[in-house]
Amino acid sequence: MLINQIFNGLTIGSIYALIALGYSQVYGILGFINFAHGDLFMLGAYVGFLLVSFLHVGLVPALILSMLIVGGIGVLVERVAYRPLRKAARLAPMISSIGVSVTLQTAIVLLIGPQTERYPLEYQFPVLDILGVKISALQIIILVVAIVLMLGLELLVQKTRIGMAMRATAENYEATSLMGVSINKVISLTFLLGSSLGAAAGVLVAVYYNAFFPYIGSLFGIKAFIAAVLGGIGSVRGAVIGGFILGISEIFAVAYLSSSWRDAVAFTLLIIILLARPTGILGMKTTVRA
Amino acid sequence: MLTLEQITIKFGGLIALDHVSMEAGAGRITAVIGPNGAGKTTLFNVITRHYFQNSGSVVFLGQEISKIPASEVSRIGITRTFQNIRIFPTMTVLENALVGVEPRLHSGLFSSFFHPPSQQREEKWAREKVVEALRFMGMENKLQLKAGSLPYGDRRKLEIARALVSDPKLILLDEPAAGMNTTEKEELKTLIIQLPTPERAVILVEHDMSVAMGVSSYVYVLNFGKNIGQGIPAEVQRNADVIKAYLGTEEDADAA
Amino acid sequence: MDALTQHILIIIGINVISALGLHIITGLTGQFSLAHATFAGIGAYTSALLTLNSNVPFPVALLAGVVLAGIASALVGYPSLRLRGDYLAIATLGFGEVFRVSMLNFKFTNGALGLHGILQMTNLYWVAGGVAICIFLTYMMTKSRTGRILTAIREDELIAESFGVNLGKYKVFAFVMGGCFAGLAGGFYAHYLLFVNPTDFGVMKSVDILLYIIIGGLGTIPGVLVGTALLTGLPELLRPFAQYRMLAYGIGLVLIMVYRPSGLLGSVDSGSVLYKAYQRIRKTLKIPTVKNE
Repeated sequence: MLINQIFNGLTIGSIYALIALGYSQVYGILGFINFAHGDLFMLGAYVGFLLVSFLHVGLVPALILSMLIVGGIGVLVERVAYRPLRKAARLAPMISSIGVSVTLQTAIVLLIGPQTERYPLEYQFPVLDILGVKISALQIIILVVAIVLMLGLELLVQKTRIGMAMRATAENYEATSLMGVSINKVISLTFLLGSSLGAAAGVLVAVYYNAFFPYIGSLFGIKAFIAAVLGGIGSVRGAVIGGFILGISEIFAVAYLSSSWRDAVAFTLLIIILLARPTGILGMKTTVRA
Repeated sequence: MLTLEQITIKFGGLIALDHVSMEAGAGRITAVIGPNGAGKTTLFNVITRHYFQNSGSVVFLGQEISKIPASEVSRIGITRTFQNIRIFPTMTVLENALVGVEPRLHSGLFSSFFHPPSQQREEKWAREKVVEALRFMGMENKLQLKAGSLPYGDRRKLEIARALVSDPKLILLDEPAAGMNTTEKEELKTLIIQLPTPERAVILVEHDMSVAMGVSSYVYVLNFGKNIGQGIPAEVQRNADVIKAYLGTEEDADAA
Repeated sequence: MDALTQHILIIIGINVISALGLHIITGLTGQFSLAHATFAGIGAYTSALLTLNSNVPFPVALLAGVVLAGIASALVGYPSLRLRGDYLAIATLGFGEVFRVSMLNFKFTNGALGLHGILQMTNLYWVAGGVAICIFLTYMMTKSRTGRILTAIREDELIAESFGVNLGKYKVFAFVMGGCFAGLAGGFYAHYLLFVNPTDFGVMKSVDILLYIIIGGLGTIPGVLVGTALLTGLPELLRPFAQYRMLAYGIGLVLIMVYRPSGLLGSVDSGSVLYKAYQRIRKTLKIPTVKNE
């Protein structure tokens, strides 16, 4: 029972973590809260859904295609709505991102409708019995996919030249141009990666809960953002740790308290951690930009 | 007026100030010079209680002030300007300088809604004081300009005016001539010379030798956190260690 | 005046009161709050519960809502002494959500169903009076020593502190004043729409209020008025176009930011014109005035 709960927590936590990475990277580099990120996650679920339902693509190719397409949309959003505001006051891109968020949600409502949708999957995921613990194969798949993607990102950020440029940009905006890497490229890549991880989370959530709707991005977006803050915004590991902490504590709150207080747990946790460590668990000393 | 005794401050393993002692008296300008990174600004931060020394004492008007919080320093009569100008950019010149009068105002929060006569009198008094200081700095026709739109030299002057209106007993000027051209520097020198009064001491931290030597009556020289020389400007200029410290950095600068 | 115009004016008025509150906290003092709708919620619930359950007169119920919202605001504002910038925004968001979930779970607030059958009390006169008082108080405060200090805190709080400004006192003051305004707006809202439920006061509503004060031009009263009137008035007028208005709203936000990043009015101070008019009235009414130069 306890192990099952922990597993449920890890599953939902890995999804929070995948979304949190996008918030965290953008905040780390550009210093604003990208409210549209939750809606790119939502788009991920819809793009996958359209591919599976109408083009009869398999789930795995649908996941990969959705990541690519939404990643592209993320890059486009940055070009249109954020890049012109690079030098404006810090609130401007945030407001612009709220505009993008409303636009994306409304576009989906107009094109597909406000109703809840589900993937038309014929097969049932088996429930595995591992040493007496019953775990759904779907949960294992979600965890594996999420961990592979996060490890991939961590490798990219730590080991490649462009990843180094990303880290450098997060620390010091000006220094990157000195390294001979174009800041625009770094930022585009950040949006590509963040949006495609978000899209992957979208497909996984849609399959896991067997339901999704146009406003699902706000719900998961806020939670994931909190996960990013809990772990320490700007850090890949922080986002992952924050996601898991949030996922597990939520599941325990539901199991041992009451499901109606579930959302309060995330936020109470947030307030306590912020008051104790104002920049998150793995946070930088000063993330505030004057 | 101000006496520093054997101040030592360490950051991690780095010794920023090493047993530095100095004295600044009323009615004159005391200069602290030295190459970049010598610990000049650190010294100011110790006096304004932004940093806490590991050992040594800061005595102001016969009173040890090491226990006073940074927010109270202006009330006992110490004020400063900053090396990287810190003005309030979207406020007007007048409003900027009015913040300097803060330590001497008393009107309460509630009166700010109804502007009773007592508050208006206080405001009027503060304004007169500020306008006088800005006139002294030659900025009386720029009162309503946004501080952020001022040219560099005027921002420096505004900072000095803001420090002046709090009626300080000790003014700390942190590299006021930085970034100024020769004409501006000359103008600034004539202003700075007028700052000390029989009740007021001025300490000037300066990288620019001509300014420091030109206005001060006593000079302390810091290098790598150590006091390597002191005396009246003419003496210091002949001091071999000082010359070496300065020439040394210039050679380094040329090499880099 | 036809019913639609009156309705739109009342809604704009209520939002202006709330937005002026956030203007004080965020626009003037620079403290980023995402709990503003929460304060409105506290005002709404408090006043509605009072008029529903006892024979408390409307003004007293309103006042109780204002006071409680002010107290809550002080409690939420307190962390602002420790947290800066976006971290403060996130913490206030946390407070707001905890409040919303609590309202959903408590018995006396009737959970997700919310409160129904609230008496219709709010009308255009009440709202107009409220708007006038709030603009007056905000204006006078801005033109005083307090306003100067709040702005200085927004621009550079360390320097303000070095001139003896008690940061904690003034930040909490800004939160309390802003929270009281929100509480008043909430009281009007409850007694106009006649039902309230927790989702009316969630984070997205707080974000809406933030948009009101930014779109017009952050930090100025005319900016607040223009932004609020535009963002509440237009969607109400365009209601028949249903979803398309939300699409236009979203795209509009992006366009305004891209082409006018500091808001429609930028930061003009047309308010000083009003102040001079006020001084003239004071003189004619022979209210004691100390002459300014």
